[in-house]
Amino acid sequence: MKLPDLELRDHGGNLRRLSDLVGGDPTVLQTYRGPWCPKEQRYFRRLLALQDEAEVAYTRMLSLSVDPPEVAAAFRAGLGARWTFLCDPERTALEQLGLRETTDTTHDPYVPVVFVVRPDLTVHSRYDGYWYWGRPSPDELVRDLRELSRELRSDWEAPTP
Amino acid sequence: MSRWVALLDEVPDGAWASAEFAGGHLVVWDEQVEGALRADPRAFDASGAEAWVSWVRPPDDVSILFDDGSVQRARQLVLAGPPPLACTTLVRDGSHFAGALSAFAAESDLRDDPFARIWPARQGLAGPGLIGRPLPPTGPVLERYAGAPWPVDRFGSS
Repeated sequence: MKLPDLELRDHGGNLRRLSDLVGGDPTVLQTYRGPWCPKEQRYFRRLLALQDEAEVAYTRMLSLSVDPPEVAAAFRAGLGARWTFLCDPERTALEQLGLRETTDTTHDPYVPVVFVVRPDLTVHSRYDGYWYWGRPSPDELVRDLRELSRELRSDWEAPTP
Repeated sequence: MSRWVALLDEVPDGAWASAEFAGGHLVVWDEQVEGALRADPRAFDASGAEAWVSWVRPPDDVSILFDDGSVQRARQLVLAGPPPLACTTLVRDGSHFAGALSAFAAESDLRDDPFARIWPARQGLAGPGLIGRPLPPTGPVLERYAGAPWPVDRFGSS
C-alpha cells in the first residue's frame, strides 16, 4: 500500500505536502479522533514517550485529524508534542484514505490508525486502533522502525576496519 | 547547497546577500569564507522581507558541544513552541555549537528565543533581502544529519 502525497495544513496553518514532511526518514503517521476521546489522550502518552527516542533516531512523527489548526495547535501544546500535526477539517484526505469512522456521526472523525511509512510513502506496517488494543505498543513501533531503518540505511552494519 | 553567515561592521565584496542589523551587517555567502559560520541555507532568502532577528554566539574562549543539554533543550523548545519565521543553528566544525540565528515576525517574540537562554543575544530588526520563510521542521528530530547545521533534515542536503 502506498499513501497518496497528501497536501494539508499543519497546526500552524502552513500548507504541507506529506512527502516533504517524511523526507528521507522512517515516519510514524497516526490518525486520531480528536482531543475529546479518552483513548486518544491515553495513546498520545505512548507517542510522547516515543518522541524522546525518535528525536535522536532520525525518525519523524505526524498526527492527523479533522481538527482545524487552532484546535490541533492547542492540543499539541498541551501535550508537549514536538512533531507536526496535520489538519483535515474538510475531510478530503479522510476520504482519500478511506478512514471515516462511520459509527461516530457526531464528530465524523478519522478512525484511529497508525502507519509506519517509508520515504516513498509506501506503508511498512499498519495498525487499526478502532479497538484500543489494536494500536501498536512502543515495543512494536520500535521493532518496525528498526526493520525499516535497516532497510533504508545502507550503513546499518557499521563500517569497521 | 550551503550558506555561511557572519555579523560584520561592513559588507565585503563577494557576499551572496546582506542586511543591516544591530549596528552592523549580517552577511551571507554561498561558499565557505574564513570566519563565517555554516548555517541552514533555508533560513536565507535574498528577496526576503525584514524580520526581527536574535543572533546568539558564544562568549570569547567559550566552547560547548552541539549535543550539550542546553543546546538540545533549546532545539526541543523551538519544535514545541510557535515556530519562528526562520531558525538555523551555526556550526564551525563537526562537534561544537557556534550559535544560532532566529527570526521572528514581531519584536515581542525576541524574548522567547530558546537559544538566548544559553548566552545573551544581539537582537534587532534585520533589513530586507536576507531572511527566508522556510516551513517548520517536521519534528521531533534533533540530531544533525552528517554534521549539517540543525534543522537541515536530510543526509547529503547541505
